[in-house]
Amino acid sequence: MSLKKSKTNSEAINKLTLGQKLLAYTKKPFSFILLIAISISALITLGSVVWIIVYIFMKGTVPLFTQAKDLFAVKWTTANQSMLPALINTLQIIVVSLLIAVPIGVCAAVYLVEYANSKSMFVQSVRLAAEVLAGIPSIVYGIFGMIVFVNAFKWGYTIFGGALTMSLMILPLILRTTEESLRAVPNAIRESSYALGAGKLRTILHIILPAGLSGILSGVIMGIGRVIGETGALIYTAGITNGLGNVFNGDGGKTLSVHLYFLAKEGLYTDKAWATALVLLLLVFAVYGLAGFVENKLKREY
Amino acid sequence: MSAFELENLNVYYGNYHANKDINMSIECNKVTALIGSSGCGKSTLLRSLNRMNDLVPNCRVTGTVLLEGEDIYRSMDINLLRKRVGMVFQKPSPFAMSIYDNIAYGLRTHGIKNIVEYVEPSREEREKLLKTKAGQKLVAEGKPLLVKKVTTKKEQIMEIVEESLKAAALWDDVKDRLHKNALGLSGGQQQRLCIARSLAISPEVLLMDEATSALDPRSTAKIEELIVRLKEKYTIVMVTHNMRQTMRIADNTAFFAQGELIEYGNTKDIFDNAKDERTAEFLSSELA
Repeated sequence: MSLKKSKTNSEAINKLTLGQKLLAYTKKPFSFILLIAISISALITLGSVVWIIVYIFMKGTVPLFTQAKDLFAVKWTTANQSMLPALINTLQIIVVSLLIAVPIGVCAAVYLVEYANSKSMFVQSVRLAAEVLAGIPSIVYGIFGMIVFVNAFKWGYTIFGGALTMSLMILPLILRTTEESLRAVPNAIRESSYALGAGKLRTILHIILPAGLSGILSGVIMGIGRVIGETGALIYTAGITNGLGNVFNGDGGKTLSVHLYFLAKEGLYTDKAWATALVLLLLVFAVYGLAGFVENKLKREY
Repeated sequence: MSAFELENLNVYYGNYHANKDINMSIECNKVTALIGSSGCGKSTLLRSLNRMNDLVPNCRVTGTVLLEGEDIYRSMDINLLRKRVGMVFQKPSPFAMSIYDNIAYGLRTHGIKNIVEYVEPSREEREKLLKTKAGQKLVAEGKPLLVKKVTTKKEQIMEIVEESLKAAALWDDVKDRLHKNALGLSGGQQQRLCIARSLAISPEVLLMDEATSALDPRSTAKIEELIVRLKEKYTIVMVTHNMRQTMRIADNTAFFAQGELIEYGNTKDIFDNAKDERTAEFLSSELA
């Protein structure tokens, strides 16, 4: 066998030029059609997101800056259409609903994964219930909240009632993402902890929950996203008054999305509606950024 | 001296009878190898010794297992048992935390306190003490002059981390990166970390479930060397599929087939002239 030295030895022999690739496709026209179809799908996905974001920025940036004094006035009036009270209402509802839903959802997931026998009827029904709850349209939660909190409990429209309704809505989301992430923790890690003489509680708190943290966080982010975007369910529970709500004293008030919904519907303050939409968008960005930061700080992946 | 005494041990997974009437005693400070083809019940037996089988739903254990004369199933706290009987698994399974924390985890689990001692003062301390009123009073009363010395938890943990890493022949590899994530170590290093983690809580027995089967030959040789060294202080029970390894490091060997203990004795005797046909057949096919 003779070893001949190649003349152009620095040229990569495992790469195809674009021309060569296209030439190869002429023999397989169906593959070429598929290639175009999937490329277009990817472009549509990316394009629609970019389009919405760019459009909102284009329409919203100028009014947001020129009318900032009106839009962020402490007190809402018909003239200024301030979004500040609604923004604060949104934040209140997010915090309270997470405070309720996260502990319950995480504990329930720990129970399902670490304590219950996964084949038992009870576990199966909890899982089915979570799936059904996750599929219920949000307006149904709204009606439920109105019947129970607003009418039966005679609370009227309150931030707390709205937050309770929202926590019911995001509970299955948090339960399911947490459950999945806990199931993904390798069994060898669990056994290693037990084999060192650690009890169940210690293993869960120090080994399993930290390992499942990124899953829990993604559930929390999705939950926040749903609360920020919710309108229907909150109109019937937290109300549509324009003032600043207070979770402690039973005042209700509309959230940012509800505020935007009415601004857009009435059509009198289109500029302010765009500016409000921009703030809503920035709020969502902030949530995602914060979650990514927290996850990077705390994650323990196997 | 025997570390473990097994009397009529039976283990069932549902209807499957995994260990049938096992009677054996495992010697102290010896390496005992459990061998046999897959599914013969050797891992099940190993996992009965630190009650890992309790974690398997529908697993039923009958009979008696004594550790130094104490019944581990009837009269011992399970977490205390697992502190006394450490285990290293087939696949290295370090926790996703720093090397230091991996080892400290077991220590913190079993609680660690500041140690307060009263010790002889150094010359300077003594002179300083004699200048104080309290010191002069002690001398006048003829009482010994002692100073309080506190060893904090942190100092103790650091000491044990170093000790166990040295015992597991890993110290030189990792001494400069104790606070780096343990998952960045190579497979062989991870397995030695798992051994160090078990040693840190000073067990009496170390169970090894095919601890070298996922490793390359060089790491395997290192761990074998380690096992031989460790048997001075610990009793070692290991499950292995590697017959050459058994010949190299095991003092005693137990051969299992279909859940039964077929033959048990000195490794050399078993390999040179097995009494049972099945043992001889298994060994000749494995060594061929």
